[in-house]
Amino acid sequence: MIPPPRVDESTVVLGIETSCDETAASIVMGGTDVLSSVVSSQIDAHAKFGGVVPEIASRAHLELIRPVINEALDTAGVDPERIDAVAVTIGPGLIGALLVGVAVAKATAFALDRPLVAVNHLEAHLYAALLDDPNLEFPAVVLLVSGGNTLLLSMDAPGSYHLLGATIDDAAGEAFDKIARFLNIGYPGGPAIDRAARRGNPRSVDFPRAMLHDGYDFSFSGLKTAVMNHVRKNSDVASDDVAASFEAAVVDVLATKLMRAARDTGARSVVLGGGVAANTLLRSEVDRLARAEGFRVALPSRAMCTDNAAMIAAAGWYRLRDHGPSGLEIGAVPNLALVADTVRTNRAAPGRDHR
Amino acid sequence: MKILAIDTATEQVSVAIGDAMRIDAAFCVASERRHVEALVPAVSMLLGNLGMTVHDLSAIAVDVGPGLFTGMRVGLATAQTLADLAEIPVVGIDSLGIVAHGAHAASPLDVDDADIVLPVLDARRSQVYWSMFRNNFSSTNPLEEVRRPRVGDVAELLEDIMDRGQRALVVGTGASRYAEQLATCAETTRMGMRSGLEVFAFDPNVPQATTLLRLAASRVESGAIGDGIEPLYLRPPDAEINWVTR
Ligand SMILES: [Zn+2]
Repeated sequence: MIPPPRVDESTVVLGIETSCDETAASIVMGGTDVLSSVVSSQIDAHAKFGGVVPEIASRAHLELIRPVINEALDTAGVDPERIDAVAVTIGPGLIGALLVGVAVAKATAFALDRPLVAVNHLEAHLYAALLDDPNLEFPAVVLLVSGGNTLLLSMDAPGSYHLLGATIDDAAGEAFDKIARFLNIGYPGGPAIDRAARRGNPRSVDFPRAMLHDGYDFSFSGLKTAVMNHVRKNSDVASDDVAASFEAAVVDVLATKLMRAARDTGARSVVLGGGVAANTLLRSEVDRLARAEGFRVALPSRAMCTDNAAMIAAAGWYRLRDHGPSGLEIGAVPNLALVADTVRTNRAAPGRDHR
Repeated sequence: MKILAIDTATEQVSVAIGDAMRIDAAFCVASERRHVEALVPAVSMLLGNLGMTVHDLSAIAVDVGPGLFTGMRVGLATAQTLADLAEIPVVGIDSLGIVAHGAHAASPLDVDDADIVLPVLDARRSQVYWSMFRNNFSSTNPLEEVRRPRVGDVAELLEDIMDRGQRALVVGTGASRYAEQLATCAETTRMGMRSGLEVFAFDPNVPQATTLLRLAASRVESGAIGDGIEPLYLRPPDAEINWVTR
């Protein structure tokens, strides 16, 4: 039996992340000090399919995981024996991809006789802001936007958060990918839309802003349809202008709801996370609006917004400190929810439920 | 010289510890899709019962497939990581060789009737994985691989058998699954080899890791460890697109 570990600022955690198409490993000390963060992206392997092919991703993870972990150890100047705990993403994500990371993490924890910590990938995204800004002031509101999720949360402290709203159909990143594919402007969709939008006119088409003044939930499927209909009816329209107008509509909704949640919950900080938080317009709009109203703003670096293992190691450090280690019998959980005990509290908008 | 053998490339999670002379401990559970859950606890339990740690091992053996992709990857990732951290070699053995030698060990009399032994595993989608061994009728090297693992439909497998024109014994999950087709074909073969093909439905629940351990032990003893392990997929990745985006 492994005794309850001492978890402090000298505790070194190896983080492992293989939930989608990034093979990542990181060494983080004390929950905040990133000694190394290595991310090997498989974008090229999936580009011709316009989306992540699970079996290709799983095979690539198996090939890449050892070199990636070894590079993380080398860069950090850390021997395996110096690792105090192993943190790994167990979900949500692609089952075959998750299994590679979980298997390696379990074997590492077992061989080194160190605690294993199961980490929720979405929860880990919430720690990315803390890694870049350890003095983040709570309470905070967090907008977590990625290919699979659009979540608005209030966060009282690390490990304590409440769900305010979520998308009722497509995730924001999913909409970016679908529109980028529809406009045929590149893969992955997020960066492709970002680039095209910088060249286009965001006011050329007035796309709908669904549920803009209505609760904290989001809906992007109507916008997606509107963009497609507009392009089909106006074959001569410049795709840069469509991309810019589409992006403006998404960012308008995201930023408006985030700011309203910040006001309603009495937050001190406004935080972005997830792959879509790397979007140029979203970052500048949130920064501008939040500063104007006197909130502290935490915009994690782009490297921390997209999938990485430093956030896994950081989340693992807090989880180990507050909840202790996980058992060696754990498995991967592809549809893992944010947290089982998350209470959906529309605190500032009682009685409003859009489902 | 103790070896840890790990087989998760099939429906079972099978683990064994021992050497060329004997199996010291073995564990097997038909766990379907729960390979990752069961594997490390099983290794921990066996080592614990023997009063050993991974640092007391001299090599790790693993089934590299062909088989269930996800299970196979769990086995490879686990074996490689344990071997790296214990600083010992890892030996890869293909699943078909394990099945052929397992059948020989379980029922040498049946095997003795055959000139060639074909391990056949169900590859789903109406396909099978198979390889081919010549029966040397010797105790030192009873089965010798004459055809490397491949994948194809049952008709291709049958052609392969008929081309050899020898008494063949077919073993493994694919043999059970396609027993009727194999038997029918055996009776209607143009070569009139009514008795040329026998189907021996090898019980897939025989713990595979014990056979794997014996095969790996003889490799380690003869110094033929090879340099590293590679998964044996035999099939390109399923490009069926799951629109997962980032
Ligand atoms: Zn993510």
